[in-house]
Amino acid sequence: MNMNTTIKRRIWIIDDDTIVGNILVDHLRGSLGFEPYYFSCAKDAYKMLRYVRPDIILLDWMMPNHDGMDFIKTLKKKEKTSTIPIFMITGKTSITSFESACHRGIDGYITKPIDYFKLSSRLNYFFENLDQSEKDHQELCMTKLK
Amino acid sequence: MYDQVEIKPEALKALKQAIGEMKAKHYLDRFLKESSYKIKDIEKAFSIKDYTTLQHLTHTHASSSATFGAIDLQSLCQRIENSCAEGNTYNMQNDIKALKRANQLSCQILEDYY
Repeated sequence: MNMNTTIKRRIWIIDDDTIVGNILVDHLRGSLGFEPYYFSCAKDAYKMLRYVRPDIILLDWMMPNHDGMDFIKTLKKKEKTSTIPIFMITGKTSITSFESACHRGIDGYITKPIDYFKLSSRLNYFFENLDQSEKDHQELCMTKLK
Repeated sequence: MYDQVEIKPEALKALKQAIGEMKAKHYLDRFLKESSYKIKDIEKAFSIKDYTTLQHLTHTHASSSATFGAIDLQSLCQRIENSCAEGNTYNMQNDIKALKRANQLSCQILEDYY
């Protein structure tokens, strides 16, 4: 069974560019059945984390005050939020930028301008893998119980 | 100074495919409306030597411009953004003048697109 058809994945988009942020919301909601939610600043998203846990965060790097890298640092500090998957979305295309984002523990790196269909494919692939590992884990637990 | 600018039609086509023609037009209209205000904010930040704000504004405008295929506008924004990051203000005034012109020309082309 394809889990993507039954479970709506909560995708948070954090980007100070409201046009890009809203386009992503429309794209992800419209064609894929995800449940996207948009924040124009990392601070607001952080406040919301007290109540809701997203399945993934699409995070812009360059933002005023609290930028993407600061946000990741804050998330990784707390056990409750440290395992939330993060895809960095950025105009930074250099290898050095990619490497420093990887060192912070991101799960994906998407460069701007965004290729919308590549992004959706990567998200689908990511969630399919996640579903499979959860299934494998459950099967392993069941075998141990037997 | 720019006399003509390049717009990548593939970017608009991809946007239309991703969110539909109506929504693509809605966001393009928003971009066109907000662009002139963005340029004013950029000029203001430069005039008061607030390079942190200038870096941020040009970064955001580069990102939106790229979304609509305005590649010359995007690269000019990136040039100013990089100059801010490097603390190099030499020739920035000319770059900002060029940016204003490129913004005007890009918006004209994009307005005619629909």
